[in-house]
Amino acid sequence: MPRIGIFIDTLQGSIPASFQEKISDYVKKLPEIAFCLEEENLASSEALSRMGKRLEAGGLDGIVIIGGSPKLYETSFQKLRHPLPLNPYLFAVANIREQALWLMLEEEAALERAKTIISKTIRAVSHSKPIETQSLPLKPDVLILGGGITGISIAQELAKAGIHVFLVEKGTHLGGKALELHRFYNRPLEVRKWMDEKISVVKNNPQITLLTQTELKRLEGHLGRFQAKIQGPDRTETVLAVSAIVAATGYASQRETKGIYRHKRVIVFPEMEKLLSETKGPSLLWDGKKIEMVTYLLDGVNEDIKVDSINAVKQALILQEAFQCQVAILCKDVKVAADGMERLYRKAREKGVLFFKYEEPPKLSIVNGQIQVDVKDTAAIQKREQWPVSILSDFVVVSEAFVPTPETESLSGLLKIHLGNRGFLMEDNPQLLRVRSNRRGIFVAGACRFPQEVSESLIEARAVTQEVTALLSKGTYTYDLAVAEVDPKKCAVCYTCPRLCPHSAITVEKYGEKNVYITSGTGQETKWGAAKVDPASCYGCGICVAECPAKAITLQHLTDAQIYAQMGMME
Amino acid sequence: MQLEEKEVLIIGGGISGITVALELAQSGIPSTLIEREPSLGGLSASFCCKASESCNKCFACVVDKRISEIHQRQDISIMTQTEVMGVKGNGGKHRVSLKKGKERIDLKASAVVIAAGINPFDASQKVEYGYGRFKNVITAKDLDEMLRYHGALFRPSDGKLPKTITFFQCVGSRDESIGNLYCSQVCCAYALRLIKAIRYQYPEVKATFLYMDIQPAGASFQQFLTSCREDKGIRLIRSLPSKVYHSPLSDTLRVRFTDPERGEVVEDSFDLIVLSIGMVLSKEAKHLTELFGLNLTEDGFIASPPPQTGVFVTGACSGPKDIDRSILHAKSAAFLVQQHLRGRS
Amino acid sequence: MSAFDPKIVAFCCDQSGYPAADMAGTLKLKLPKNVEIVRVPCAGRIETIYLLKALEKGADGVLVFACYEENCQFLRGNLRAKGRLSYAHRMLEKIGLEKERIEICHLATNSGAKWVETLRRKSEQLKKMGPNPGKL
Repeated sequence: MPRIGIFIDTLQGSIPASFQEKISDYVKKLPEIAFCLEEENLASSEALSRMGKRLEAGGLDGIVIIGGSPKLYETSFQKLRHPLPLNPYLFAVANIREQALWLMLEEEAALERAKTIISKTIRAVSHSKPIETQSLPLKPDVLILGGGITGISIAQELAKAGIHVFLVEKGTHLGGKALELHRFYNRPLEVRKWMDEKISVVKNNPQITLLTQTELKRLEGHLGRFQAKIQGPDRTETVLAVSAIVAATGYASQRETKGIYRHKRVIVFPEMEKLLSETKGPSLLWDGKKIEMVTYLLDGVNEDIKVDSINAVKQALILQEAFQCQVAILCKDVKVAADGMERLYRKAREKGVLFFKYEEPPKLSIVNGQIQVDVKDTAAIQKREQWPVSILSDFVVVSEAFVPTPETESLSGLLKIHLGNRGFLMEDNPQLLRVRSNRRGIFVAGACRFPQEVSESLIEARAVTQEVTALLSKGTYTYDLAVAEVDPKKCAVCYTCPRLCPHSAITVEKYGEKNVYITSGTGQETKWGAAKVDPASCYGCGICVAECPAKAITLQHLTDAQIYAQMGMME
Repeated sequence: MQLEEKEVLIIGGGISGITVALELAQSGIPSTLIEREPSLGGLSASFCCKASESCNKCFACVVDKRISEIHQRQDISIMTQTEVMGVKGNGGKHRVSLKKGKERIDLKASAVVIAAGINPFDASQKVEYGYGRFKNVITAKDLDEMLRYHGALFRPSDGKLPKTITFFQCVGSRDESIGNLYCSQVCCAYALRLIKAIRYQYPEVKATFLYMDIQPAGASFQQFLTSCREDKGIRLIRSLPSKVYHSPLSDTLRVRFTDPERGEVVEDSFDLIVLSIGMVLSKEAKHLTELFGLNLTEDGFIASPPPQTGVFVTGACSGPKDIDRSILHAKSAAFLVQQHLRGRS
Repeated sequence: MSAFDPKIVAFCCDQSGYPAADMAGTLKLKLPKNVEIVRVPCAGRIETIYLLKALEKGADGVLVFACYEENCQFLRGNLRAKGRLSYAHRMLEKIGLEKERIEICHLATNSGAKWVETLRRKSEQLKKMGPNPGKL
């Protein structure tokens, strides 16, 4: 007969005294109960120290706290491990406040319900086993994949925090897509100069090992013990041992090349940026002639990405103010959801930039060597008054489609992280809060998750730096073994669990002498492989436990017996 | 000079303040979090879940999770019903005097994080919309609270389910007459998500969305917007209404706007009108800027001072943000605080 | 049918169902009698056999509370649970029990009202369907 201790927490009167007395009477009559003590506020430090002293007396197999939601108590016990002489996993909470007293109309029904909850909890806790903690050393070494603005910023900040960084870039130079920018929309800086400074800081920082023309070929291991095999320009392979990895591989752009889009007067944003950065003024010359009319065609692709709208307004202002061009911007919606964009948009209109909102895609045609853009202006209320407007343009600036880089798919396979529904890295799950990936120790930052404006990527870079430094700051990763564990003798190596673990925490390993699978009838000892859950990477969700056809996996803190006990049945 | 001995004070217990506190705690840095109201969570704690068949990425549930997470930590001192009375000193240590009821507490902090949040725009300032005069004109915040705490949609005047509802966008944002020349960035997304959530629970309710320009939010917005456009029960009309009229006999609200579909100015009646209000800085947050000697941006939010001052501004009080970006920005701020404490700004 | 309180076993995942139950309590919403809550870290932990055993050992109905799609803390647990439920439905069809006895409901951490409403609706539905003929 297990010996269970009971603490009744009245939560400073939330549980009325009369109710609490009836509960007390019920509990004291149960056979397994070693003692039943009452507290007014169990989560307070005084009450916890009293509890500690009572537990030091020993002889208990478990503790049940009768009070409010488990969330009120759980972490307090985990934190006070040393003063509390009983393993935190031998505690259970009978939530009779939120889930009995407050959910029932009559006190009679609430009491019945509370009694059921208490007896189930006592039965569940008698099946509990103590669960230990383990530590994993974490060396301050991080691998950053991608040398664009995000990768560079993260490398810089991590180096400042004393971490050694391997910055791996597949191209020949650093900078990525941000090199196409001439000006920021919200800062009076010249991008090229600013980038060059950042790049030289990275190149000269002894904490950063820069590896260009290098790619990731293979990744093995888990948090704290990643083994990343990289291939350099001369095809030599090296293995980097790192504790954490950041994917900042950016995005690619695809240009429309059908028909008129190949015309030399139909250009894309980076080409206009280049033209603006190279021209001193007072007018914009191209092919020997002055550029007078520029039309922007937005929202043809990338409807939900703000970058093009921001760049269009920014460029339009430069064209109108510095180069006396007339600019027309055609879009479905004017995207001003960025700091300062509404003001910039109004300024652009003041300076004469024309905005047209369309529903039907505008048509392009060549007229006398210029591009004619025909659009139905929806500003007119009456549909019949919506004349098509023809704009004869020297340049038509169109968007490039923002797509994942060609390596993204294979990268997701190498890193074993998920792809989102447009092929970018990581699905859009609010619980992952943007910079995390489905794997512990691997982070995703910047446009490789979703194409965004540079300021946003810089904020993400700092957020990732925060997450990485928080992870590595203590030098170890401590975790409870409240995780899934495979019984290698039962494992049939069906590969179901490595495939469906959402956190890629399961691999199939060769087992050594101790856990040898003996094939019956052969009389010899055969070394066999079995699935192994990495305890530091396991999140304890139990998906593998439920899916394993041989029932070879157990979730240490929630076994079948405990679930059946909660269901109110003996099994 | 141990890091743990230095004090970090976080002013504001909304999602941004909570995130900064949690991140610093993860890095081994304890902090004091103060909040003016009796409970944590700020504005976003009153938001309802806006899922329809699947999650619509409103992040409201993330706020609830962070609130329960912070209450479990021992290394963050939480003080509710606490306000800042005065500040002395700068750079090295700030001496902040706090008031909690009748108590006066003095705190020394090496770094102060201001995460004071925002107030929803006061919709009664748009007199023509009738907020405060007509019972069935409510703000999106009222609607959020109705759905969160009652789990049901009803007209305030008679408690019945509205058959037609309309959302007015840009109330208090992008508005020269009010003087708010900024986009609040979150309203298009939250209004469309509310519409989707309502139509999932009540498919018979027809919704109209009156807007200027639809602003995208999040990585799944294109898919989401397409599903809104394909929904026959939602009308997306690019026209902001001028005035709301109330017919007391039939207890209906009439709205005049231009409908490009019908090609003319029309007057439609609706059972319920929801105003998508934008963000403004609260007067308490403005008071903080005076105490700490901070400037306001052109748009009336708190401008971030240089990092050497040891004062950091994060969350929506520094500029309109949704919950997703507020959390991201708060993590970034936590990193800057760490850098400052280590003397590496 | 006579007034019987159908026994419902409600599997509540730690990220959605369980906090929603707490929120319902905080809002003092009222629950029908005879609801047993089983707490799991993720709906993905729920095996098909638990659903069937629950019915075998006396439940009239089983409700699984899981997170919305693309909102699962463990990314795919809610979808796994859905799959196992479909499997359980096929079993029920084979043995002649009503499919409606096992249902999955998606909600979020802050859906207290929806949690209570779903259990109330289920209780009413089970009252009309009658007690589970398959219980031992």
